[in-house]
Amino acid sequence: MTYLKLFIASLKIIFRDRLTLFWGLAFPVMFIVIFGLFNFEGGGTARLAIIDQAGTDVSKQLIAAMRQIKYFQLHDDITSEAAAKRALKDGKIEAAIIIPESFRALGSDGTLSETIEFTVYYDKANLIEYELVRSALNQLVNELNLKLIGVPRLFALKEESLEARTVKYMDFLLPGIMGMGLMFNGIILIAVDMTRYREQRILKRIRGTPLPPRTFIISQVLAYLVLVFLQASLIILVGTSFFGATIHGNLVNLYALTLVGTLIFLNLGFVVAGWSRTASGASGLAQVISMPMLFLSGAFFSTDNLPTAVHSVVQFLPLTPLLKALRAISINDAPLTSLGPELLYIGLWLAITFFVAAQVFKFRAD
Amino acid sequence: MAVIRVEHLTKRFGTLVAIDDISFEVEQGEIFGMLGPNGAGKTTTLEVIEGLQEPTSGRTWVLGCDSHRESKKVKQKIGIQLQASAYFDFLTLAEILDLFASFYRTKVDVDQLLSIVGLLEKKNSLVKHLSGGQKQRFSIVASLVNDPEVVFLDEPTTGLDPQARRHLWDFIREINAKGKTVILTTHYMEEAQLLCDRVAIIDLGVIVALDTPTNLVHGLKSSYRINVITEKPLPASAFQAVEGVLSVQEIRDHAPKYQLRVTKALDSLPSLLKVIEAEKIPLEDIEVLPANLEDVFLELTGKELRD
Repeated sequence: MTYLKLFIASLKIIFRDRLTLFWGLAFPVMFIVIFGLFNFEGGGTARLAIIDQAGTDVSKQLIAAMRQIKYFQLHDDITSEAAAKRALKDGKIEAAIIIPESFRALGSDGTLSETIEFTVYYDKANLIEYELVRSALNQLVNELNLKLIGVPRLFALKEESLEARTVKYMDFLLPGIMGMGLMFNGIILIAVDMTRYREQRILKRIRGTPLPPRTFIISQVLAYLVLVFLQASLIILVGTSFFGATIHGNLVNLYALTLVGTLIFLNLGFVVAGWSRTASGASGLAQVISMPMLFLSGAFFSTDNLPTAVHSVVQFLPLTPLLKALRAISINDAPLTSLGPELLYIGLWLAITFFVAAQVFKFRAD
Repeated sequence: MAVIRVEHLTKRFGTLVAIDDISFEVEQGEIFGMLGPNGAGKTTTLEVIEGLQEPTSGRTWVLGCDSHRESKKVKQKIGIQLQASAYFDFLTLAEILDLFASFYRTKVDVDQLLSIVGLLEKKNSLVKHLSGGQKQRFSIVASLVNDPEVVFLDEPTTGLDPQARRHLWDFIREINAKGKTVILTTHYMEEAQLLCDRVAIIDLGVIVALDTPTNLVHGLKSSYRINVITEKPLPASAFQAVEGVLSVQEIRDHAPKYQLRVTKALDSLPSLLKVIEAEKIPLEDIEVLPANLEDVFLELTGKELRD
């Protein structure tokens, strides 16, 4: 009864506070709209020139397969390496792919005697679009490799699977925004709320009643989980209905992971509240923690371009495995069983942050 | 029967001694006041008794239960109003009362509670939309949701205008009339004098006096204050010749004003008039006032009781 009353009261507090609603609901949606309007996919296509130096049946089939990918817009008028470089400089294309003469070594029966290297030219000024081209190409190359090893009649099969797995930037962004939203909700909002309650002596007032502090905290956490649930739904709704994003995976798993991830950041929020004396101090500290994590964990862009040393460190930030798992589910329809390492890291972070929060967060100010 | 018992209570914050070995008891049904300047240790004393702060040494009991070893039992039976306490910004008065009642696993008649303090029409307003006086009244009524036997009020009228303060006194008397023991802190002399059955005067963590306001004042050597206002200034030392004078203080005001503390006004007045006549300075006004708790504080600590 007390739990229910407190839970409802916490919900009322959250939904009557316009500032909380802005950060909780409007802010992440704003990100989707902004990224959507910028349209990092260059009108939904990347312009490519493919220079076929092999000229075999297989290479022609490969080009035909790439033509099937809606995302690529092939410029057939560019036929030489030099012309492709010029077009790249003039900004007429985003990337040029050279199919080398050595491609001839690949027989039409799928046998192969040596490694074939595709050369890709790209414009550094167009990193984001190149990133998309590269990931698509990587996929293509991987598919080729896989199919070459196992299945002899690969091209007919490959076309379909490539078509199905075309990843749009919005598909990549959507789980990133969900991660961002739950992190901000977790760290910033709860830390500011708790510090403000302490400053306003509300926590002390509650300590003067028989209510166990635990009950108060659990009700708050549950109310914030509701907010994050709505937030995730809003992000998915806006992303899929207005910006063409697709969720390929299991929604239940996606939501479950979102809520579990939120718990990590709620714990961190209580840690911040434990370290801060004032609400503005808490807000500052929470941002210092969450802002770098937002970019380093790859909420908006792939972190593959980070220096190796940095890259190997950011792998262990709490947001990184969470984003990886969210993307694996959302984009690749990965089952939870295939996410062992990520789930392990998430579980570890959950335990660590809970332990630290329990040590650091105090109802009392002294 | 003692409702509150404090025995050899000491509280230190690092090297600062906030409460220095105090002992006292509060009786059933009284309004007990703790009077002292800011930083005297009043709030800390209350919070130790409520179980909100751990004592450095000594023990406190409420209704026979140890404030710390049996804090759950104690919290069930007491009502607390904290100094400048805020409630949730985004809940209405009715919602807050209902919520706090659920902490005690009881239900309250919200309308009836709010109407006691004249806030019934504000039932569905948010706390942040209340005036200062309304906020104070609400925070007191919120301490009554569990129908407590003892009510702790920490500076209940601080920051209020005189009218709102009197209004609140009436309300506190009303609570008391329902059989609830009230213990409050204040730095307003008038509040302690007019509202409290007994007053503990506290300074620097020590109880310097504890009695009824009347007894405290009667125990003073200087039972009266005489304010003398003259047209032109004269040396304050001239008043030392007045019979029965204990102290003379020059008060900076528009006109020259002198405050004399005397044992008996009737003995001192004739000699005072003679002194002024001898100085040949016209007398503007003269006021004779009975001593109050402010004088008690001054005499006991040598300091003024002002914020």
